[in-house]
Amino acid sequence: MTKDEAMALVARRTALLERVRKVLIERLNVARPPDEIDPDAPLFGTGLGLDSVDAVELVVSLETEFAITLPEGVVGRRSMRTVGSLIDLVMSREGAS
Amino acid sequence: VKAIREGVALARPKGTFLIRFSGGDGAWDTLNHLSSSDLFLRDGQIIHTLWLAEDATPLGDVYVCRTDEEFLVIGESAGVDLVAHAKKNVRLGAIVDDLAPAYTPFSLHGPFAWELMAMLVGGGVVGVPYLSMFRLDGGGWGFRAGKTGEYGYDLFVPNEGAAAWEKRIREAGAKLDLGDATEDVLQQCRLENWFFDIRREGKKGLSPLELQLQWRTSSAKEYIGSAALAERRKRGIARRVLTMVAPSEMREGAEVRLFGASVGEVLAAGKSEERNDWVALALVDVAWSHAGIDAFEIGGVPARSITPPVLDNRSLYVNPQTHTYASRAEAVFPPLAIGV
Repeated sequence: MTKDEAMALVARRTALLERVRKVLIERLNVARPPDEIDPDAPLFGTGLGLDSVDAVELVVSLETEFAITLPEGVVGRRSMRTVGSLIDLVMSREGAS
Repeated sequence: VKAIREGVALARPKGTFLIRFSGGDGAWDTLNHLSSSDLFLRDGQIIHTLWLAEDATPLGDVYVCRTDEEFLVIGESAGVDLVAHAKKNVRLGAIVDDLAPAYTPFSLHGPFAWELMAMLVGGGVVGVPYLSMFRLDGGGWGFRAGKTGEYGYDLFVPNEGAAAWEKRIREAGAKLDLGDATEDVLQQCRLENWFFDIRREGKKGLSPLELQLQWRTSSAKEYIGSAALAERRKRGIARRVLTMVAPSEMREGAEVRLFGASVGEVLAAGKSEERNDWVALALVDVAWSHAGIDAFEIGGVPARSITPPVLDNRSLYVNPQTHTYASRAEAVFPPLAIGV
């Protein structure tokens, strides 16, 4: 990876992080300012406090926000563990939908 | 490690605090002042939080559990006596009791830890949600928690019954090929699953901002360390933790380089047996603290950043209604290693 490629990746992940934070705050009612939602913060349980009902809403919200489809089987349990794993998921689906 | 990742292992935790807070409203008020998270707890529920020093660095990595009108705290510290810290900060006549001398801790970890627990205390334990407490026959408590990414149970049994408990655990566990987990193994599992380790990265003078632990802090209340944390937040941080993987050894304290420049240092590192590579937690300049960069160099070893956890834990897929340890070979699970 060249420096330019790394800078482009950082810019892309930073932009996606902002949008995932927005989804979490506006659609999942995570009661925190955006900059208090760390990239590696766990989504469920004692992390950002999401529950199994939120998981369905989260998938729908990601599909809407990023204009991607997340069919069952693509959204594995590991994709829903942290904010960062959601970014990985979105990046893996861009252009695939 | 194999027992923790694929079966069940027994650990004998050392240096774990067990503290009871009682005395009516003072108990909650004292704990709320000590703890960085908002404390809204039902009976039997646990919150995983931090106790901070006035400068916002972590003193304790603690579980707070409500039990009737009292609270139990299980904690690990960065070398600080958490009982003395609690007693120094008592409010409204709260009573702080150090229970650790009277109880012996055991912990069980693994995707089939629930099966061994069910043999020991009955099938009802399978329905105990994550971060919940249950009482043990004969005294003591069990806490469904754990810091390995697998099913985890922390047991505190009265000292007089500890030998009998261990005998029962080992006899029942023999059917599940029970392994023994050392502190080193548990530390490696924490690293792989991105559980904060107050005895490693917790001793580096970092705040929850650099450690990515803001989700364990509240902006809605004042607590010990909150003023310093707010000040640090206002100033902004220069570096943030980032998970790295590499094919060769990475060492704690090693410099992290990227495109010829020094951009950070390794806080903790260890060999991942399940991944067959090395995993590290590094403190990296915020500008480069992102997953997916494969151009890092650590002590001459090429390394790449990755989103933790670095394992797709089997406990995510083991279902107590359908799986058993004995029939595990018939089940199909995803590979444990992610992004290898």
